[in-house]
Amino acid sequence: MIKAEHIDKIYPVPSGGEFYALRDVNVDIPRGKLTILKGRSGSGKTTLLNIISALDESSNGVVHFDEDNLTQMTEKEKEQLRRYQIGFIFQAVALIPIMTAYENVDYALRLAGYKGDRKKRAEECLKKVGLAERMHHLPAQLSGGEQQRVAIARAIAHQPKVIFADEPTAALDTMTALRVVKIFKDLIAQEECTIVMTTHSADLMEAADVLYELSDGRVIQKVVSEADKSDQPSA
Amino acid sequence: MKKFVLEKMLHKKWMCICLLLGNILLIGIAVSNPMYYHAALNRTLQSDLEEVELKDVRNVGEVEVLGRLGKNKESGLTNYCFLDGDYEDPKQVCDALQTDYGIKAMEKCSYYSFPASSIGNMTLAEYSSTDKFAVSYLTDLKEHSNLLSGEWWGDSIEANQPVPCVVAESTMMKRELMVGQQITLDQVVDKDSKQPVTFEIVGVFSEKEGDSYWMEDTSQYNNEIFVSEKMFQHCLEQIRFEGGNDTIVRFHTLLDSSSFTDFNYKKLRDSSQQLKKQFSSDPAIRLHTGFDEALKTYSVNRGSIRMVMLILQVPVLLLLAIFIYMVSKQMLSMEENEIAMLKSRGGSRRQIVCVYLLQSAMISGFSTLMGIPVGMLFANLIGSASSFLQFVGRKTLHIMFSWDIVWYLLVANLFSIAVMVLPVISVSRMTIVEYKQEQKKEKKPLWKKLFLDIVLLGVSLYIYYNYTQQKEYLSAKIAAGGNVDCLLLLSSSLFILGCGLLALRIIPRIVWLVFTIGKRFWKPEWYASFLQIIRTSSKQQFISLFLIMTISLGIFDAVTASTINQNQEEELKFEKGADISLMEKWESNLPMVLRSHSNGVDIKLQYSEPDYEKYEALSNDVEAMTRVFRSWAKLDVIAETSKAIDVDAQVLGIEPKGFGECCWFRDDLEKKHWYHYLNLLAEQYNGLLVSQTLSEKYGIEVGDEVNISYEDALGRHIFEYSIGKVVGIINYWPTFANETMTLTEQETVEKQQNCYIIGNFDCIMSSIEVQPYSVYMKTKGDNVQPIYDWVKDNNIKLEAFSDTSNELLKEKNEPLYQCTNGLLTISFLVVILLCTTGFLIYWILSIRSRELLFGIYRAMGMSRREVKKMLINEQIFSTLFSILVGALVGYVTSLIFVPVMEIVYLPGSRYIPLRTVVKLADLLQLGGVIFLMVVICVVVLMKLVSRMNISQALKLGED
Repeated sequence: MIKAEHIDKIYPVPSGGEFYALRDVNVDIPRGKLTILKGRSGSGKTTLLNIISALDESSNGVVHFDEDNLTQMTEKEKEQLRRYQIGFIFQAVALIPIMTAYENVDYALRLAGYKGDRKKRAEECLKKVGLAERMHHLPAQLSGGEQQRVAIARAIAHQPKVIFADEPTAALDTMTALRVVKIFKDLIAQEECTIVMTTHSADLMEAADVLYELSDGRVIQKVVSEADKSDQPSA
Repeated sequence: MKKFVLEKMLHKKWMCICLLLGNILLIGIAVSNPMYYHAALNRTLQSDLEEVELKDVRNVGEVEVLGRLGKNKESGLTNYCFLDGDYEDPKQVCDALQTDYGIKAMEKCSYYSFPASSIGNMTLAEYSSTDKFAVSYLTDLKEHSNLLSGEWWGDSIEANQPVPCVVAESTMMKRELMVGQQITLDQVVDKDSKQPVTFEIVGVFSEKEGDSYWMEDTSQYNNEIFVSEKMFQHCLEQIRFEGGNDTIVRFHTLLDSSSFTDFNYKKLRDSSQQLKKQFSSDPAIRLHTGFDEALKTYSVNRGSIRMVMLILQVPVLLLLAIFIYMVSKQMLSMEENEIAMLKSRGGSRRQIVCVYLLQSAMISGFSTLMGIPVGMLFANLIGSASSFLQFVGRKTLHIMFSWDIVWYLLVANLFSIAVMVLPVISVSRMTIVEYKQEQKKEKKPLWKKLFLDIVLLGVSLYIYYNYTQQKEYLSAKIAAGGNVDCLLLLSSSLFILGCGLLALRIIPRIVWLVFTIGKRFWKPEWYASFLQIIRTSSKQQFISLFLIMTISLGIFDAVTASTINQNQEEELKFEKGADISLMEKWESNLPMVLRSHSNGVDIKLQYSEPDYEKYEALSNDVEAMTRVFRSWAKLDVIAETSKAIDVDAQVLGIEPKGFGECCWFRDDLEKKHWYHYLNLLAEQYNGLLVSQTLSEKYGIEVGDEVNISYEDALGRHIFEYSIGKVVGIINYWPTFANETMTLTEQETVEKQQNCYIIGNFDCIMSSIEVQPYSVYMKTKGDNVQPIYDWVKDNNIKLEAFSDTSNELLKEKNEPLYQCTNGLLTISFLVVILLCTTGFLIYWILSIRSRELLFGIYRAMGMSRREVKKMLINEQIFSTLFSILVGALVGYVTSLIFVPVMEIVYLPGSRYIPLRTVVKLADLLQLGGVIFLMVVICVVVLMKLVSRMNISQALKLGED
């Protein structure tokens, strides 16, 4: 679904010279699967996620989002893409602090111009992540895990094609983290969406359908789960 | 620790600069008070002294104690009895009269005069026995006099020789004396020989010119022969005065009135009051203190200036305090996390408080250094204010050091340190865990719980209500020198604060209402901005309150200033009638009239009219000119049932056209234009305009015929009656006040209604023969000098002269008006400066702190445009709302409370009612500055948003 080819991300270094955050990275994100970008801190996984999710621009290389060439898109087109086809879950739980859990989800629907019954959909999403009872609480009144689940509900609410999750489990304990991943898997099954997430935790690797391991800005390993190998013999 | 604090401050340099600005202004304004105050008071004191000196011929610095010393019958003949004491020698009495006034006397002199004695027949046969001479002694006479002929007395005293004495030149002339002449005084007897003593005039003296020693000129000493000090002693011991009168002792002190200042005036007043108290019981003592009246006037003026300054400064000081609090609170809230972290890592509360104490001490220290020159600048600005936002290049104020400055400085500094440090104490209590928990709690502000807004509004309106009930009494009391109730003048500030707080309660509700009404339809950016305003209202309320207060205070200042200035000017113009009014000295048969009057025969006063045509020469400098006759008359209304008989009224005889051209009238005073009434008069030769007061009191109506008996200059009604016809009733007329208010001894207000009639000049003159009239002139432009020159060149003798522009200038230079205009202007400028800085700081910080949030919005697909729209909507509903509310509050406050100022500035009788003047120009000025401020702020915000990078913003959030 998303294909990134020969991606470089170069930052100028204050002392002169250049720093390659990403160097000749090629990834292929399959539709309807959970793809995990794995790597240590500083390996470039978040940078890669930002580039393929139209949040940031690469220095070199091409990113295809379905049929579209992301690198040739205008700012406006990218905004539209993010608005309608993408959902985000961030490392630091990035809920809108002035809105309740429900309003956070509702807001994503508003932005995406959701045509159906917003209230129903928002409640449904929150129910899905198990937060139906606490939906009228402000983020500050929720625990870390609850907040992350609201973020997930918000990300899926407008039924995006892809959900990008940057270290969604970093701040959570293993049990909660596994629960989040379980939700992801359920979502893929129920909503048929594609999920790309980054993590440094080894515990979650097994859940991945496709796994890219990054180190020092390069992809050093690509693992496709047994179940998926049959779908993608070329990988 | 110093390094840590410095680095911390550098890190937040913009906040620190704002804090510095607030502190410098706070200190500047605080210290400008005593700086201007003392300098201006000294000037007021001097002008009060000058005024008294002009009225009184004697030197204003003079104190004279004059006592008659009687011989104490009980204690023997030799002792002098003065007050409760017994003195062997009159000199001791003088010593007892010395008082310490706190300043060094320029001159001191004692005068002693033994009882006047008649001249013995044998020496000066031509004098009758009633002619008397007194033997006197004046200290230091020789040093202060010129010897005109003869010589000064010698030191030797020889038995059986005449006693040498000197006389003043005027005495010599008046009493036709000459050097060498001997005078024997009957009742001055040598104790041993029991023979009358003979004096010989050995010299004649005159006063040294320009010598301040001569507080009374020598013509006062026409009965005196002066002896030397030694002879005076000799007289005391060797001579007996058998005259009936008492010995006179006078002690004269001349103080240098130019060295009277606000610092020593109290001591002076106390000393003089002490003297008064001491001597009031004894009728034999006369006390004259030249400066008593001036000091009394001064102490009244002083009080009102001091109070007005304080009252005008309090709101702006309050605003500055809020500003400092706001900035330091903002700074603290950015550091709360760090403080909690420090606390969790083992930092003691004392250490944390010390860090902030040091920081605020540094800021205060630097602000003090900068604040003092700023204060001097402010003091000078106040001193050179001529009107609101207008300054003239006056001589710089002589600013003196006073302990008050130190006090004000100290209080301002302590206050700002407290504002900066006290909030830290509560924050430093918390560890990081408690801090996070605290953050989650929703707290209701104390003022909301206490309903402070309602309380403040209630109190201020109650004070206002009380004022309206007692307006007349208060105004008369202040006119009589009483003090204004501080609370009354502060009520406007309380009202503004109350309104501001009430607005904080209401604005979020209005926004909520707007939000709820369109909740389903709002576009995402609008939706988010509404929620932002509603959910963060507690954070925004400070900036909202600040905006409301600054704007309303700015408007109130501007309206107060323009109202005071314009009303003062209009009042004077109305009172004086025309730019220039003058009356020449008319020649008359007054001496003859007086003589025959004393013989019981009344003859008419007849004047010869000076040439009026000569004023034509002024046609180049004068736009219009007219003759105005003013007098008193008795009125009888002719009617079937007598309405009024013998009513006293003032009469004004005018030439309608000329009067209309020369005089100023305010359009809102009458329903119809005042020319209408002038026309009525012009149409009817014997027409009369009658004051409303007269009409109401006696039921006089239009069409009534009135017999008028005019009074002449001696108050006699000896003219023929003339009959006038009432053609109009008027509420106001130039030069007339409808009411005069006075405060009685019992502190009740006595209102006196003034009745007046206006008639045609020609008609009146023809019925009473020509009487002295004034000439009213309207000048071309402001230049009145040609008129002064013309009067001088033509040697015109004037009975009365008034120059309105000059009087206005004099009034404008009075410290009360000056400090009002100066302070209002400074307040206004400070308000604008604070408003701009406070507003910018708040918004920049608000945007900075919301970068992550914007990152989220952007990541969720919101465009930059939409983020900007969101901010603009926020500006509309929080800033614009606050600005509009501020403008409304300012306007309402002005309408309600500006008239209260009337009792401070224009107490007592008023010629025309006060009207609140809202000058569009001032409001536009304020509006323009605020508009500019909002535009700058929006531009800065837009720039910030444009530069924002989503991935970076999100990263920031992670940090």
